Amino acid sequence: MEILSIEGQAKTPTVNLNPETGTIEIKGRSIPENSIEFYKPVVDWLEEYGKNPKEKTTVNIQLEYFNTSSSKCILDVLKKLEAIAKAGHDIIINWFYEEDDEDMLEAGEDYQSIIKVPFKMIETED
Amino acid sequence: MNFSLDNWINNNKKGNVILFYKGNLTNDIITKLLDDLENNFENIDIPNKIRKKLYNSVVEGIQNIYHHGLNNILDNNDQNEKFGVVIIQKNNDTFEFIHGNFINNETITKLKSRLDQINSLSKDELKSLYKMILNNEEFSNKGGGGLGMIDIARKSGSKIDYEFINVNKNFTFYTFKIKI
Repeated sequence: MEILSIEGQAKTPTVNLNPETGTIEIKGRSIPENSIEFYKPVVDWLEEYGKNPKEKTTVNIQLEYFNTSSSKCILDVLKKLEAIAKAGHDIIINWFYEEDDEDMLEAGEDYQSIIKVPFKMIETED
Repeated sequence: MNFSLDNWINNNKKGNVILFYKGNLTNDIITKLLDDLENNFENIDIPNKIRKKLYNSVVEGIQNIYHHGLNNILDNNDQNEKFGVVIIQKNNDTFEFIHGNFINNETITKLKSRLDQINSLSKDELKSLYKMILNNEEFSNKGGGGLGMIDIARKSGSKIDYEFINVNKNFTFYTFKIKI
């Protein structure tokens, strides 16, 4: 499998998916008008990775903003990770939120309660 | 009396205007407006927390018009869809986000019932509804089940002040106001 690397833009996040290190990173802003196209390669990559994942996968999600158009796509990403965890592999999900950003913390809690894989909530400074 | 868009704007645009836009909301224009909004935030006193809530609400509100807005039905030359008016302003210590766009009269009933439902729910009930729609409903790029409005209501913690102003037998000007 190949690394998938997408550079962040004004309305889309930086994405780094590395099958060798088992590291999955989504960082920045996710506020595009049409999120489905943006996330399709990410979800497809995870589908493929899930067939033969590393024993341990580390996921870093560090979003400053995301819109509701992205929210379903992010859930699709997390559901792929849930499937990997259910198959008996280690998944560490780090959910970053900026200091005082209770909404982003709550968003992480919402996702955690849906996918039933524990998140590590990490507060960062502004 | 006939509906006048200029009168509506004059009646609603008051206080310290942070951003105003009237026109078609294309991808590029949305990017530009959000960029302008962030630049304008630099010049005003706004707590970080409020800045994020307001920015998020503006993204949702504007993108709702992007996905569902009609053309400016009062302007025969405007054949483009996604026409909207956006006002972001500060009144005393409160930030207001107002947007308006034209809709077909037949969409009023459904939209009104969703708005009334959102306004009737507590914070926890909104959270449950958000999660239920997120996890269960079919989505398209246009979103799903009014998730954007629920998100604005959750983040602002205030009720949506909406109005349907009749324009003619086919169209209505729909306005949405929220205080943050």
